[in-house]
Amino acid sequence: MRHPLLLLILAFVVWSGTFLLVYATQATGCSLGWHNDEIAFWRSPLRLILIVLVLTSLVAIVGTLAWLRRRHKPAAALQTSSFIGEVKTYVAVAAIFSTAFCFAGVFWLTLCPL
Amino acid sequence: MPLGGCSGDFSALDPAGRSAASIASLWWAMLWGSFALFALVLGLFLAAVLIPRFGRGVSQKRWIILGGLVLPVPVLTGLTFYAFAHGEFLLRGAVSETDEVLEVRAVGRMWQWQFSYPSVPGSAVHTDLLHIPAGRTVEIIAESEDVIHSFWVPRLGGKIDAVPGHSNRLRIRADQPGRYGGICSEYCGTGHAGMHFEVQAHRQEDFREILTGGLHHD
Repeated sequence: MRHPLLLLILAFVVWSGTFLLVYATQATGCSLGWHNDEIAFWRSPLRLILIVLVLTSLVAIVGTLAWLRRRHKPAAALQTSSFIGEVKTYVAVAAIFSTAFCFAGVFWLTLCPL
Repeated sequence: MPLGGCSGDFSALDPAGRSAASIASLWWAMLWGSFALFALVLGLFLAAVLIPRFGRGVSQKRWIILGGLVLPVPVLTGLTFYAFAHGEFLLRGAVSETDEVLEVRAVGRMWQWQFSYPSVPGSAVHTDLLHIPAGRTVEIIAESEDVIHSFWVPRLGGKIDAVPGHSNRLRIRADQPGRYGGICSEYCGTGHAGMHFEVQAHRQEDFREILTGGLHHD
């Protein structure tokens, strides 16, 4: 896991895990009736679970970025290491944006067929 | 020849109801959007190749930011929210009140569809023939008795998988009385290509009588 190229994709691995979790939870929740049409939409148990999942993932990716930046101390002579470190930061920032953009719909979109 | 897909019984680009029209308009927005973007990118590429010193005044970093972020992010954001709006509209089945919706059970099996009407007492079960009222949203409850099928009437709405042991729901709507073609859109075995059905949309006042056998239809 300490291989630089693996660390490079770490943030998007968290993103893809979030995608899988949100997708599976939404499908399971709809099938089991967790969305509960009888109550206000923002109190739906399924929506609350999905919001918690997305916010947790967002925190995890921000934590990944902080961890990557903290452990990145390239030797001055190693240009490649410095370049990879910079790319890791950009990739993690892109993953944070992607997570917020892709999963923001859990706050307001209809979760299950009516 | 490519224009052959723009009309006919199975053309999603020739919508006959609000749900299908919503899907078609999304498709057209994506098509024209991609044309415009392709032309822009190709134009910049050709300018860079053919016009001496074109773009040299812009640094590499700025090209990356402009081309990789400033150009695609607003476009993708616009398309995403446009698609969200259409998705919400399709889930509601183009109606605001759920009372207006008529439920129809569609059971797929190799290689035919059976349609029944739980909310219409005395209605018969039809094979490969779906009767619906025109001007009213119909909720299809898709199920399967064997393998995965997919219910699709391209001119009336989207498609939905019929999965064994599970009920999936889809709302379709025909604005005018008429006949519309339906197909199975998930490969389900050697008879898949022939797994067609017909949708007949009737005037609201005739619909119940046709279902209960009080009015003849052809």
